[in-house]
Amino acid sequence: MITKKDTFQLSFFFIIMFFLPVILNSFQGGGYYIGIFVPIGFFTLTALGLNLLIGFAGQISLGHAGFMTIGAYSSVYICNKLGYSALYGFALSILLNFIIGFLISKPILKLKGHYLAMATLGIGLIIQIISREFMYFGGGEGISLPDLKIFDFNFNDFKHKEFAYYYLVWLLNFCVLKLSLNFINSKAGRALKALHINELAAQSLGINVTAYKTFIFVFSTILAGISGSIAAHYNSYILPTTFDLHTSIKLVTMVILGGTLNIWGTLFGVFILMIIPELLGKFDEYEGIVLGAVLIVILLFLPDGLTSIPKKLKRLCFKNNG
Amino acid sequence: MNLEIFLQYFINGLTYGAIYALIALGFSVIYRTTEIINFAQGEFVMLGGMFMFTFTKICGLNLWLALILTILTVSIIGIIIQQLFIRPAINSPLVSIIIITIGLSIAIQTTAMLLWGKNSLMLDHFSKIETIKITDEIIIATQNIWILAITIILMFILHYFFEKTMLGKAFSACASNPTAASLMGINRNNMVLLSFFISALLGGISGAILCPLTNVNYHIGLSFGLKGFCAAICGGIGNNIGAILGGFMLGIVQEVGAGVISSGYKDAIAFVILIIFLVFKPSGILGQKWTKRV
Amino acid sequence: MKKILGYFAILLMILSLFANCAKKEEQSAPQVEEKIKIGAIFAYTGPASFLGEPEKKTAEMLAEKINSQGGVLGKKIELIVKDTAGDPQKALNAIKELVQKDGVVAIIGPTTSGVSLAIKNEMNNMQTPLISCAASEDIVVPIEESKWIFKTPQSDRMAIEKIFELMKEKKITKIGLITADKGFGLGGAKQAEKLAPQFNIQIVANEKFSSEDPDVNTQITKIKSKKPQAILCWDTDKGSAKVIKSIRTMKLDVPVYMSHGIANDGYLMAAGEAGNGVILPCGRLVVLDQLADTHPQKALLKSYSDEYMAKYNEKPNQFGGYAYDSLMILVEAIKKANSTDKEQIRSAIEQIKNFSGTAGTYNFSETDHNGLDKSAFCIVEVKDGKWVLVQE
Repeated sequence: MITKKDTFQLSFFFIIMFFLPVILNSFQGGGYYIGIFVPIGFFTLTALGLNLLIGFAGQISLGHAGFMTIGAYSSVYICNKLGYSALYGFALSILLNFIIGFLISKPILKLKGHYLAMATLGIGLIIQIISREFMYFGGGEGISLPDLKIFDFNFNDFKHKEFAYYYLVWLLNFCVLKLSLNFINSKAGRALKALHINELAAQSLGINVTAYKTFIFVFSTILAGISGSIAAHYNSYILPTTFDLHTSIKLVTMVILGGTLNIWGTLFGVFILMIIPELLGKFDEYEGIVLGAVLIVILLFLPDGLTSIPKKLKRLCFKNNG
Repeated sequence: MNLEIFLQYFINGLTYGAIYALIALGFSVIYRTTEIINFAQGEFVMLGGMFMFTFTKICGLNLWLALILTILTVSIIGIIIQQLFIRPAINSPLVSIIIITIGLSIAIQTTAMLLWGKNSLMLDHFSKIETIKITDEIIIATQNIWILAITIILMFILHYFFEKTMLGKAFSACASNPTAASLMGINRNNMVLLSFFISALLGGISGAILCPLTNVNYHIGLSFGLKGFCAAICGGIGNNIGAILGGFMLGIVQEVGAGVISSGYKDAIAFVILIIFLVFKPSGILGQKWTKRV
Repeated sequence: MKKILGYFAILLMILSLFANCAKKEEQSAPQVEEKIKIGAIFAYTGPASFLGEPEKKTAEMLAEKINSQGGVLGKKIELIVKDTAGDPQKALNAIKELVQKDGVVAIIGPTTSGVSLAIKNEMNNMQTPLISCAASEDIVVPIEESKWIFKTPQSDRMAIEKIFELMKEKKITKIGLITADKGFGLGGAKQAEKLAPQFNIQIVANEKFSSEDPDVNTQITKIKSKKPQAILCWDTDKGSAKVIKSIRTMKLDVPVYMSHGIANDGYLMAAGEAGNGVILPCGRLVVLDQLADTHPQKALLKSYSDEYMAKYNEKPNQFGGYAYDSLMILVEAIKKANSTDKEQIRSAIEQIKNFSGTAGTYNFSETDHNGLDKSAFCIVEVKDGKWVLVQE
């Protein structure tokens, strides 16, 4: 079961995230600062699922933006076209991603490495192209969404709508984190860790590798779907290009930057990658070079991600002392 | 379906097929020595077009001299990239390498944007007569013929290189069994260097010969890189002849499909083919039994 | 777990107290505002950067000029420029930062139609005026959903009406349509499909291309097989150059009409010889020296052109002109409202009449947030790699 250390970290995290907006709001332009954490929040949601997929199932996906697109357009269909409550939109988003994720997981999870990367990339692009060609949903011009209403609570009526979205998305993140930690520390989770290290060995121990892989893949697509739905409501407009190949790449980068076997690292990775461009605003046109360089340098020198820094430092100190 | 129009689609497809084949060959050559996929491969195509523009339009050099200079410059860039970024990363996990090459691709694009600006640049066709009219419906650009001819010549040169020269044989040996090859005194690092040289060279040439037909701007690389990669997988990754076949197949199916079905789904067609191959025959057209490679 | 929850509750109370105190202090502090802050979002990097760059340069130049002349309402203006890179998510972040953190009174830009549409709802929510530099008519239509949104470029509907009038004169009834699959191109395609029946024009082929397609030979082959009497192509200069090159390669010898989105020397450069013979409606900046000296717009265009040339040593284009108009209209509205209140600025923009800009004469109203009519267009043909005025 979940360890004491995890419980402590989780509570600590909960407290910080709970009060962060209250503190941020005391600054001038607080709404904007809280607003930064909403996209961070929904990318975290997708990245957490992707972390399980990359770190614990040893698979890669360059197509998760596609599943976010499916989620977003499910919400569009329910809320804009049918005029039902947003909750049905989330339900459809979950259902669709469950079905699609399940159907494609069968054939593509047999693949490995670059083959898998390319297959998922292709699926992401195909989803994007279909959403672009589907004129019913506005095609390449995009389509707007009505306010997010859950029961009688209208998220956009709220004085700072960022507040409402912030708590919605981070509450979800908290639940997913708790679930993930439970999962990692369960028998199945340990089995998956083994799977990542040596699939054959795991199989010979009687672990149903395919079932776990499928489960995690579907779970991660569902998370991506919910995150896409929330993002669409938050932005109140969705284009087929809102979540494109670059988003998929960004998501994988977030996971890798944080360190694949560490769920907290993902949070860190998302944060870094979302904050860097805000800071890079000053680099203007050089942004691409700096971003590329940062990626390369981090991955060259810290292949285990940013969360391995303390370990590395420890080792360095140890060397010097000894 | 009018046969003549179909033929016209086919001819368009043949041109792209040739380009995809060259890029796929580049992927395949690198994959054979290092088992990594270079996502920055498409940027060599863009650089090829850009340097061709610089040498012909700005420096005003003769076409062939410019072509040779372009190829050399791009190849040298390929070598520099390998030495600086790929070599230290060669033992990193696969996902890290993917992200590193994507990072490279972003950095190269931005550099190109700063150097050559944001507009599309136009290059002259190789021949003065730009098109040949066969019937009312079938028109061939002379550049298409150049592209096909140069591609075929290059393929023969590469074939000769790999099969007949000492260096090429050493390369193949290193690719099929690195340990044995190193015991025979073949330096693997040099072979990896050679593979990046060849792959950048192929990318550079394809950019230089294609861009007169299209235009060149700083962000054309990614899409070519991805299509080339599709072609390499469809043909059987690491297999040179497969890469060529895969390239031509992808180009033709894509253009004919776009013409017959819908141009909006043009890119989707390429990726649907890719997924069909991955699911039903991951070893590609010519690949032998699929060997597990992680 | 219970213990932890207990701690939560205590901490919550303490922190909210703290936060509330902090907030009260902030509210009681008087806000000193010496400058009028204006936001600007342009795509000066990314694929649309060839449009966004002149816009950014123009806006910065103009802001400097206004300040050197004493500013507006006795205050200097401060232009805060953000990059969107043509990415809707980035643009959304940028407008939130501008409105909520920097506290701008209004925003000019963005560059592209797609991004304008994507941020439209959010601007309405934040109740801040936006003067877009993108052309698609859907940005300001329907008016109920565009309360806070204005735009300066001539809309695609008027451009297409103008083109269809020309076609009708030449007795063209069957056309092939080829458009980009992004905001501006799709907007054009939609308007063309809607307007064609009114002019007895039949669209025999309707093809799309993406910015990733290296050429459009296949699309042109398909259009050619439908034997149209003319081609209408709708995209900005990069894509249109690609289309015209393919049209020439495929020897499709019919008149070609294009959008005002290509009226910039980038098109001439990218299309080369192939670009000749294309007819388009556009603003008058590209044919500045061919305008009669008596033309009402000439003086303004010349002064803009000269200033831009002097500062950046390159020719301005109409996209920069849109940014020029956006900022000028905003400044005019602030003067007129004699206030920096957002609602007053918004209604002041609606009152602006007979305002002469680089794109034409603006007459805004409560139902028209574009303010231009067909007189904002002249007809231009590309001859020998130059823009030639056909109809003033």
